[in-house]
Amino acid sequence: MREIDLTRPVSVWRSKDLFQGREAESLTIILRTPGCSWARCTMCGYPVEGAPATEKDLLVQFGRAMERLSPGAEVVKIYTSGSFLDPGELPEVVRDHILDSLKAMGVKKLVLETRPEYITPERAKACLSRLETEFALGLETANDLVRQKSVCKGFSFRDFVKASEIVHNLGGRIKAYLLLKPPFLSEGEAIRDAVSSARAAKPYADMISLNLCNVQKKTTVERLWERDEYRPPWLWSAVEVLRNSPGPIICDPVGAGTRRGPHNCGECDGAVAEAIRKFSLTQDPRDLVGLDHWCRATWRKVVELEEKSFGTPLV
Amino acid sequence: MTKYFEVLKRDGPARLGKLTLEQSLKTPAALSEEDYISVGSIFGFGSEEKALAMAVMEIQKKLVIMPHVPSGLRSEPSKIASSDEVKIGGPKGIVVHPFASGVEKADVYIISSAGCLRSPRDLVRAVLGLRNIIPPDSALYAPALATPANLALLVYLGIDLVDATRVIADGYYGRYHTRDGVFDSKIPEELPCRCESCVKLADNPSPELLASHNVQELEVEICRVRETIRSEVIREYVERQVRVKPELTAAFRVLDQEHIYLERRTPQHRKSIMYANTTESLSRVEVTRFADRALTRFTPPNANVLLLLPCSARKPYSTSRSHRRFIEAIGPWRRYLNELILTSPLALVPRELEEVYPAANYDVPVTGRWDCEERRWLLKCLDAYLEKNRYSSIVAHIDSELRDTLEDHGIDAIYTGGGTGDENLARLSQAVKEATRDAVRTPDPRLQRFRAVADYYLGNGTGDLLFSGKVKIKGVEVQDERRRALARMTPQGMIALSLEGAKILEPRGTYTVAIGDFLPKGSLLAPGVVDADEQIRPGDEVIIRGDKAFGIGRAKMSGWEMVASSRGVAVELKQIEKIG
Repeated sequence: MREIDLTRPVSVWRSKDLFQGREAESLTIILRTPGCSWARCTMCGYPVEGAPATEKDLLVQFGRAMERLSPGAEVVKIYTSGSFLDPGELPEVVRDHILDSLKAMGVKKLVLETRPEYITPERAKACLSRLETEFALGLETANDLVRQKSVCKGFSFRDFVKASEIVHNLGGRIKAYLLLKPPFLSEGEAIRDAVSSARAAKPYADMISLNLCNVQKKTTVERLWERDEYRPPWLWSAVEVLRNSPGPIICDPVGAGTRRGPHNCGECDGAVAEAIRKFSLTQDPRDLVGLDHWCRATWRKVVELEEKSFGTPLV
Repeated sequence: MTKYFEVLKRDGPARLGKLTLEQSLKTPAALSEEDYISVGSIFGFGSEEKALAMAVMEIQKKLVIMPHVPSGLRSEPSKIASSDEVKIGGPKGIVVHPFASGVEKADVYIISSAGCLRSPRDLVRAVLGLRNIIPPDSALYAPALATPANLALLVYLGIDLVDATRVIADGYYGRYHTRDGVFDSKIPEELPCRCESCVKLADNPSPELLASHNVQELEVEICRVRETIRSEVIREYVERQVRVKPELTAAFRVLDQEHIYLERRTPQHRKSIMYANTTESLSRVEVTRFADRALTRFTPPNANVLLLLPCSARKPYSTSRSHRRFIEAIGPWRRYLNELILTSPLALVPRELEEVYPAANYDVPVTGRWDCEERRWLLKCLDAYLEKNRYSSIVAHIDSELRDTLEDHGIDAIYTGGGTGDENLARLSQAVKEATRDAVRTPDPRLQRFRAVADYYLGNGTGDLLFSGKVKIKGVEVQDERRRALARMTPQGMIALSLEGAKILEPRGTYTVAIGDFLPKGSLLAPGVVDADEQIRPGDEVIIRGDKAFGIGRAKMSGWEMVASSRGVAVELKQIEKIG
């Protein structure tokens, strides 16, 4: 096994993001922390990225990541493989150092990810008193039963609402991640679940981000997928959800077109994924209109047939 | 429990049945979406309670399928709140995990994620496991699994209901199904089908046409499989149909290892000829059951000499040309020896049992070659027979590989070389004459046959008990000294009891069905059965005993099934009389 360098972040990259209604330069940093305190979601492979990074390690990681910050960058997204606001994962001194540095460097907006139970008025204030912050929460679905039994997420819709209220009361922003196609849902159930979740989450979220489930290593989803008990969502399903959900809703089709990622027939994946990316930046529904391919009829039939396949994905 | 499903006929684990919906549906059948209403997975609802509330439907005509909790094949079956209290006006379906260990009452059980049962072991374990915990008079439904190629196996495993979901989806993926398997990437150059869709398919390979052909092909196969049950040849059909794919053959072999499951469901008699064309034929219940009974339920007439003979194509053997010649050659010495016919796959058939099933009803490809499996099985049975029955000398009128097999194994016999030519028969004659020089004459061979057949079907010692007095044989009937019939040999080689005969056997308590306080007429239905001998199999001659009735009949289902069922004909009555 390769030794993990605790002084380097998992990954850092520059990209463009939607900020105040326009495209803006952004930097995404994934810090290597001890990992998620929960670490039992059926689709999440991040627990394998956890490592015993110390306070000092984390500070060095952050320093190295910031070297990549381009001068005009306005948005910084800092993710851990767990919760930014979990002091057990990211000690408060490190958190405050990060927040101070970002403010000092003129960054306009911070996006962080956290489980809702770590959002307290104090911690939210720590962020918001320094810079505009978007708190991204992995709600996955508004259906407690699905979140509990299929995703195994360990918190309720109420917990999400509570966190949202804390943040909104302090003037912060909430981004809700929704998972398209948790395990054990048919393609059609997954579409309906995502659309109704988007509608239910809308009053509590300033932005919805649709995550298309992909098959990560060493997860329940992977074990199901290996025996054809799980198929990642069709990109057509993502299009369907994006068209029927209240905006703003974005989607980055990670791994699109691969066997482990969301995919259609293999021929049209590139074009459909590109349209989804474009729509995420423009929020213009016309970007999703006019897409078509012969496999769309297959997808429609599969959605229909899986309503009565009693758990069998029709692959 | 069930009011809506009834098994009408059985052939091994496969059943013909009737599911009462708007119209009654002959099973095995493909369910269509018009046949049922499914509440769906609980993930479509906010809670289990909401899902269950949806299930309250006063619909009489359709199958209502209760909400279910989907889970993985390898995960613990999820628990869901009981639907026992849910009132529905018609047949009720419950979705069960393939490896569930307990189930609630229902008319139809739906196997969740059935289409994911790709591994032969999982498939067999799931179907057998569920069959063993659900009532015998309930239907088992495997959704999204059936194809024309695997259908026969699924039905033979014990599945009553399938659907066309898999083959329709496959049509949309461009897959063309035939009984011989699926054409995955492109449709065959020459379509081996004359259905309407196939006529159009050549010019226009559209998903709709492919799906429609696939559905038709599945429906044709369902008809074919139902007919194999009706004509009692499903085992033969499955033996050849599983050759289509190694995993089907694998599943079939795994099933054959589940001997108890099969034995409990295998009839005593089938009207068809048993073909022993494959390796798997050797492990058939009919074969092992016959071999077992030839050892444990058969006592040969007392003799010191054993004559080993080859089998003949024509059955019963004594009607064949070769055996008529053997018998002629043995002549008067026949009364001083036991005859044992060596054959595959039955191994040993005592002359007295040559008319029972399947000794008189099998056919096997004869080439003169005996493969290792066949030899091993024959010698194993022969060793056991010779261990139990001692002889002072053995005459073996067999040749070529069969003779080598016995000689190599060290069977000490006078080998006369076999054959039916005059010289061969002279050698047989001579050998038998010498071997029987000091032998004792055996009793009346006709009575010996009756005894043997009675023991074979009704248990060891039955013959002696039944024919203990001064009995007389009159044609196919055995009468007591007052000329009352005790038993009769049927044209199928079975023993049929008279009421007198049944009364003699009644104290044994075997092959008996205990019924409630009533006098049945025509047929005895399962709900009337209080208790039944566990060893009863479909086709067995059974004694009926109740407070108000005593009689005899022919079992239509196994004893355990009579006890566990609340629907269906348990016994076809032959004679019944009022008592008390």
